Amino acid sequence: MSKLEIQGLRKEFAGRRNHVAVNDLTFTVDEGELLVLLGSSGCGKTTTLRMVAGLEQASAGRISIGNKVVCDTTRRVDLSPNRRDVGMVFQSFALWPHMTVRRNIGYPLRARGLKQGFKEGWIDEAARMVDCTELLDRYPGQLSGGQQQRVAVARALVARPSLLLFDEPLSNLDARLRDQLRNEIHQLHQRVGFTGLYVTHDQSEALALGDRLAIMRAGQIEQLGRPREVYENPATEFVAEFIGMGNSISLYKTPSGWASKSGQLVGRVPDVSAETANLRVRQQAIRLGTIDSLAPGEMGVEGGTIADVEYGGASVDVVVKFVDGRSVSSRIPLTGEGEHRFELGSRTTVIFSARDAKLFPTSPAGSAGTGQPAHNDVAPEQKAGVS
Amino acid sequence: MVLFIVFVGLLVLRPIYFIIDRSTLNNGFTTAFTDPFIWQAIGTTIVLTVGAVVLALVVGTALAWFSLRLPRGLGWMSALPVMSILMPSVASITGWIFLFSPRVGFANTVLRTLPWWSDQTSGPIDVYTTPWIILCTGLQIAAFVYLFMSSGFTGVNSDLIEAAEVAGSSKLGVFFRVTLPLVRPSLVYATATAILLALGQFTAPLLLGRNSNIQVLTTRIFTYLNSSPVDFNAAAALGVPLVVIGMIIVFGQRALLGNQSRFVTHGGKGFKAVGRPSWSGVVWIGAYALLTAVLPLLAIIIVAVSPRWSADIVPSTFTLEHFTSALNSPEILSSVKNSVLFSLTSILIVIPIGFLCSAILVYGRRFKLCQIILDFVVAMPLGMPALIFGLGFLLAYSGPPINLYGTSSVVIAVYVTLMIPFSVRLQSAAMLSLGKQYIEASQVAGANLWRTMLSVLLPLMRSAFGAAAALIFLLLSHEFAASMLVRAPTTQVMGTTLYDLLEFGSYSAVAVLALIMAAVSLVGLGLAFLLGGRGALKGL
Repeated sequence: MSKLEIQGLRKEFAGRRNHVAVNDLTFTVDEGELLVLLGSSGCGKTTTLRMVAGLEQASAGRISIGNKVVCDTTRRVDLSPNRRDVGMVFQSFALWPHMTVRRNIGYPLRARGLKQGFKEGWIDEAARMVDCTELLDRYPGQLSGGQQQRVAVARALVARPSLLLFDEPLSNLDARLRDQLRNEIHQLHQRVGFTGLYVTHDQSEALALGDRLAIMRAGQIEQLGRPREVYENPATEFVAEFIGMGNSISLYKTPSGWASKSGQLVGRVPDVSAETANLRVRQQAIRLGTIDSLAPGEMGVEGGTIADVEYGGASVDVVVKFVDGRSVSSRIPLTGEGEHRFELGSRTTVIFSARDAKLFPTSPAGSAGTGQPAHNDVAPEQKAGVS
Repeated sequence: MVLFIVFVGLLVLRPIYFIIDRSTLNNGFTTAFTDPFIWQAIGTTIVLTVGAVVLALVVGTALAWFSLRLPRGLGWMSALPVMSILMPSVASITGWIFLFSPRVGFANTVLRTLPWWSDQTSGPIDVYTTPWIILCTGLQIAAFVYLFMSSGFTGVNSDLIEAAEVAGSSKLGVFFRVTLPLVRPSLVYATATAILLALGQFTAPLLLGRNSNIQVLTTRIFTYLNSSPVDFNAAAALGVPLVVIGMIIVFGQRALLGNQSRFVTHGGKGFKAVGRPSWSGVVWIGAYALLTAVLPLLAIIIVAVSPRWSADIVPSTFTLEHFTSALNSPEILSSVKNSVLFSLTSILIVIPIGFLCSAILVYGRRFKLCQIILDFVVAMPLGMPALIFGLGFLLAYSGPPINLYGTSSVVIAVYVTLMIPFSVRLQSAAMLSLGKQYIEASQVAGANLWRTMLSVLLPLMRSAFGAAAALIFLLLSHEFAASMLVRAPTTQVMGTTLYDLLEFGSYSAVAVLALIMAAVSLVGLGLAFLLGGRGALKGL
C-alpha cells in the first residue's frame, strides 16, 4: 500500500465545445487512507478515478502511486493500466462471465505473474475476506448482485496492489444490500488498511466510508476534509446543499439588521459584510411552533403556511410555504406521546437553533452558491477545507 | 495497424479502381452506351429495382409486423420468412422455373385444370417475363427486409407504444406516428439494403430472363464477358454506374444514421404485442413461406426423383437414379468440394480480418482517422453488387503484375472481400454489446494487450464467431454472381455448375444439385451451431 499523489490533473474532452471535465485537481491520499470523491453526475469524479487507473488519458498533470510516477504529461510518462499496480472495483461488477469465481479472483495473480500468491493461497484468503469461500467454483452468472460485487472486491484485493479504486461499486445494488456491503467494505478497510480512492454520488456512503472526503463540482474540489468536518461546517453553499442542508432562506440587509422577504425574522442574526445572504438549515434541525416558544439562541421565521404533510413512519415531513413563494421543509420526529397535529393551511413559525444554521453571503455578482460562509458565530469553527 | 488497414483497403478498393480505370480505356463507355439494347437494359434495371424494392419493403415490413402478433403456440412461424434465405437463391429460382414455366410448370398444370384457363396449353403464368422476375426478386429481398424490420420492431420499448395509446392515439395512429418513426434506423437500413440487392440482382434476371432476352445492367456485363472477343472495357463501363450508386448509398447511410443515440430504445421491456393476436398474420406468413420455400423445394424434389421433368407427376415412376449419377459425376462432386473448400478457407481468413477491424472500430477511439477510413472501406462490399467485385477481381488480378486467373486464390480473395462487411458487422455488434468493462477490468488487473485478447475478449466472442461463420458459410455456399465471373474450368462451384447444367437443359441434375446445395448449407449451419454454442444462430 502506498500514497497517491495527484498534481494539477486536468482532462479536456475534445468536442464542439472543449469540455473541461477535470480542472487542475491536486490532492493526496495518504498511505492506508480511504478518500471518497463525492459529487453529482458529470462533476468529473469518475474521470479522475479513470485517469488514476490509466483508463483515460490525462490532458495535463502528474499522478504518482507510491514512489512510482505513473503519469506525468510534462515528461510524457503515461503508464498503461496494467503497469500501474492498482486494483479496481467497477460499478457494473465486470466479472468475466466465462471464468469461475476462482479464476476471476486469480486473474490478477496470473496476469502479474505472482506465482507466490498461488503458493501462499492468496485467492482463498481474498475470498475469505469478503465471505465468498463457498462460491469459488461457481460462475458469475449464478451469483446475486451482492455476491458478484463481493467477488469483484476480492479480485481487486487479491494481488495486494498499491492502490484500490472503487467506481461507484454500490450503485447497482438495491438499498438493503447497499447498506450491508457498505458496512463490509468499511470493516475490510479497518482490517486491511488499504489505500483507496472511492467514487460515489451518495452522501451517506461518503460520510460512512471516507477517512476524508472531497466534494467535487465542475471538475474541481469544492471542499476536502474529514466527514464530520464537512458535514458540520460546509465550506460553501454548494457543499451545504449537497450534504443535506436543503432549506434555504434568503436574507437581505436593512439599516436595522437582516430581514427576509419570506416573513418576519426573529432572533439575532450575525452581521456579515454582504448585502444579501442565504441561510441554510437542515430539515431535521427545524421545529414548528409559535413565536412565544422561541428559546434563547434560537431563530425563527414567522408567517408560514403549512402546505403539505407527509407521513414517514418515525417522522413526519412538513412543508411550510412563505409569501414570497419559497418553502421550507421540516422533518419532525414522531414520539409516541404528545402527538403533533399539523393542519394544512394553518399558520406556523419555522424555528431552529442558530448553531444549526449556516449563513452564506451571496456575492453581489449574484453567483449564488460559491459564496464563502461568513466568519461569525453562526459558523464559528470555519476552516478552509481545501488543502 | 496502419499496415492492416492498408491491406484491407487494397483488397476492397483495388478491384473498384480497376473497374473505373478500365472503363476509360478503348472507348469502353462508347461501346457500352451506344449499344442499341443498352437503354432497354437500363429501363429494365430501373423497373426491376423499383418494383422489387417496393414489393420487398411492403411485404417484409408487413410480415415483420405480423410476426410479432402471432397467436400463442404459433410463435415458431416467425422463423419461416428467414427460411427462404437458407434456400440458395439459384435453387429457389430453379424451383420457380419448375413451378411456373409456361408449358410444363407444375403450378401452371394445376391452374389449367381450373375452368378459366382449361382451354390453354401453356400459361397462365409465364415466369420468364419481367413482372415475374420482379415478383421473384422482390419476394427474395423481402426476407432481408423482414430480418431488419423484425429486429427493429422487437427493439422498440413497448412502454413507448402503450404511452401513445394511453395518450389517446388510435392503433393505426400509433403505428404510423410512434412505431414507424422509432424503427427508422431499421427502415433506412432495410431500404438501402433492398435497393442495393435489387440493383445488383443478377441470378433471377440471368436465369429467368435469358430465354426472353430480358437484360439488366448486370446481365449485360456478363454478356460482354462471355462474348468473343471479350470486351472488358465495355463491361467495366457498365459497372461504373453501379459503383457510383453503391458509394452514394454507403455514404448516405452513414450520414442518415449518424446519430444513433436518438434511436436508443433498448433497456426497456422490449416489444410486447399489443392487442389481440392476429390470424391474418398466420395466413400471410404461411403464404410467403409456401411461395418462396416450400413449393419451390417440393418442385425441385419432384423433378429430382422423376425420370424427367414433365407436366405430369407420376409417383409410380419415382427413382433415385439422378442422385446416383450425380454422385458419380466428377463435375458435380468437384463443384461441391470446391464450394466447401473455398467457403471454409474464406471463413478462416475473413473472421480474423473482421475481428481486427471490429477491434479497431470499437476500441480504437484514439485513432479517429483510421476508424473513419476503415468504417467506410469495410462497408463498400455491401454497397456494390457481388458481380461488380467479381468483375473487379477479374480485371485486377488477371494480368501482370499479379495473374491469379483460374486459381482458387482469386475465388477465395473475392469471397473474403465480399464477406468482410458481414464478418465485421456481427463481430463489432458483439463487441459493442460486451462493452468496455471486461476489457478494462482485465487491464486494471495487470494483463497486457495479448493476455486481455486471449483470456477475455476471444472467449467472450465465441458465439459471435460461430454466428459469423454460420452466416458467411451460408452466403458463400450459395454464392453465384461473383463466382460466375472469376470461375475457370478448374474452380467451378455449386452455383456455377448449376447454371451450366441449366444451360444444357439437364433439369434432373439441376434439381439434384439444388438439393445438395440446400443440404450443404444446413450442415454448415449445424457445425457453426456446435462450435459457437447456443448463441451462434441468434446473430442471423
